[in-house]
Amino acid sequence: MHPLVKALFSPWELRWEVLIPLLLFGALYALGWTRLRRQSRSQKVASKWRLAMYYLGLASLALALMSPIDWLGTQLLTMHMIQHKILIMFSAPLIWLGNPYPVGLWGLPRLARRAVTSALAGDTWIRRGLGVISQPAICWLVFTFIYLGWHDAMLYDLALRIEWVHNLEHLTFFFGAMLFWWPVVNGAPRLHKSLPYWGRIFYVLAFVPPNAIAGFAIANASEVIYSHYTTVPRLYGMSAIEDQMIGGAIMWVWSSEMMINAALIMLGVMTVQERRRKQKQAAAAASATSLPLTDQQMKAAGS
Amino acid sequence: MSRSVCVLLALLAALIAPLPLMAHGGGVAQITDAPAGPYRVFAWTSPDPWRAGEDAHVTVAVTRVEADQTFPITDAQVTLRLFWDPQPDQPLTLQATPVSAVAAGFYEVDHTLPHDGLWRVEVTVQGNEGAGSVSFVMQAAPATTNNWFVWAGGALALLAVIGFLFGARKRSGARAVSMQRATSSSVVQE
Repeated sequence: MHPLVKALFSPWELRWEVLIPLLLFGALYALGWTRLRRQSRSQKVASKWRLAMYYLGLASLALALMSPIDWLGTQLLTMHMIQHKILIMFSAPLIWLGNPYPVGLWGLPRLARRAVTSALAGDTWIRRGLGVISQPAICWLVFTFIYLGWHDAMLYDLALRIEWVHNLEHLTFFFGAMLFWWPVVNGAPRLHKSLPYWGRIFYVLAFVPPNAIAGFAIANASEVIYSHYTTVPRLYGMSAIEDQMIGGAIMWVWSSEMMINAALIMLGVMTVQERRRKQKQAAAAASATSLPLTDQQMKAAGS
Repeated sequence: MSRSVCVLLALLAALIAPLPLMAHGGGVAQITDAPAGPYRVFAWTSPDPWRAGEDAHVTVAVTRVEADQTFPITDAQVTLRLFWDPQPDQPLTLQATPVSAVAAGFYEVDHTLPHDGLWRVEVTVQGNEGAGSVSFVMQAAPATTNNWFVWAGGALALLAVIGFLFGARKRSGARAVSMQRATSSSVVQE
């Protein structure tokens, strides 16, 4: 067995500082979901689909931070890139898809629930502040700045050398990604008018060029950019420069592909919604003229 | 009430939120691929700089190169001896332990540094293939009384107190206005 595959199947490190918050947030969501489902089983806020998304998001956080990927990230740039991609491309959007705000809110005790809603419902500084930073352009810029900034050679090496800087890197990546995906998923609390689907498609696709340029530059660098990786033993059958090429390619290709996938999903949703809208319009027009709509007319309206 | 709960929640969130994202820090490389008998040794130290009265951490990786391939040595005895420059005849002897199952060939040790100044760290590796040692020098800074975590905690607590007082003042002001309105409306009714 290849040493890297063997290492990936090593036992997970159950770190309390990761496990406790994950269990806390998981329990809060479960409580809220159960309370909401008790009120109505058919409602959309706490559906089974959203429950699955939320826990997949938490599981991906656990995978990134407690599995062997975490340790291997300090030895291989490739694994470090994979860890960051999990945090950015999976954990953050999956958690948003779980609709954590209203569901989690129902998991809180009444007093705390009131406090949170009053902080976000009225003209409070929290709402004003969130309103400013959750503007799509700001979200995009903040995340792109964080994402590209951490790939600077000095900062990346610093993160690998000093633990609290590494923590800060992961924190900012995760919260930056939460900010980035907020207008895309259109998660609650909704503080702005929802972006139209074409706007969301443009928003995610706009991230592709800066990401691809940075990934391409890393993959094609003639020397090792992140010097930390020249100070570790090469136990996994690839040199530091080969590792950098693969790591850069992951950033360049995988992240870009994820954004394109997100754009394609939204294009699909947009098309379906448009078709439904046209079908409704056709049905309304038919009922107004009191003439039954033929199958052919329905199909024509749908296409 | 809601404001104070908000402050409390924000503080709790500030404490809890960073926890899921803790990471491994590698430390500063002191030895890279140095020969020690039949082995190749790597060593990293943290924090940077070492400081008297605080924990000093050393991570050691032990490998063996055979036919251009590097293998981790998982069953070595790794001993560290720390020689303080003014007393080189009284070294601190520490036994390093394996880091984790995934970190094959990596060993680590923690120890509170008793003095500042120059320290020579000697890493001795004993394994089935033989033994060897390497050393490096560290400069430890004097002990400090400035604990940034205490300062940060104090600043957070101060913010919470200010938030609470500000909220209480605002609420008492609002209460006084509403009482005044109630009194004046009852006077008008009379």
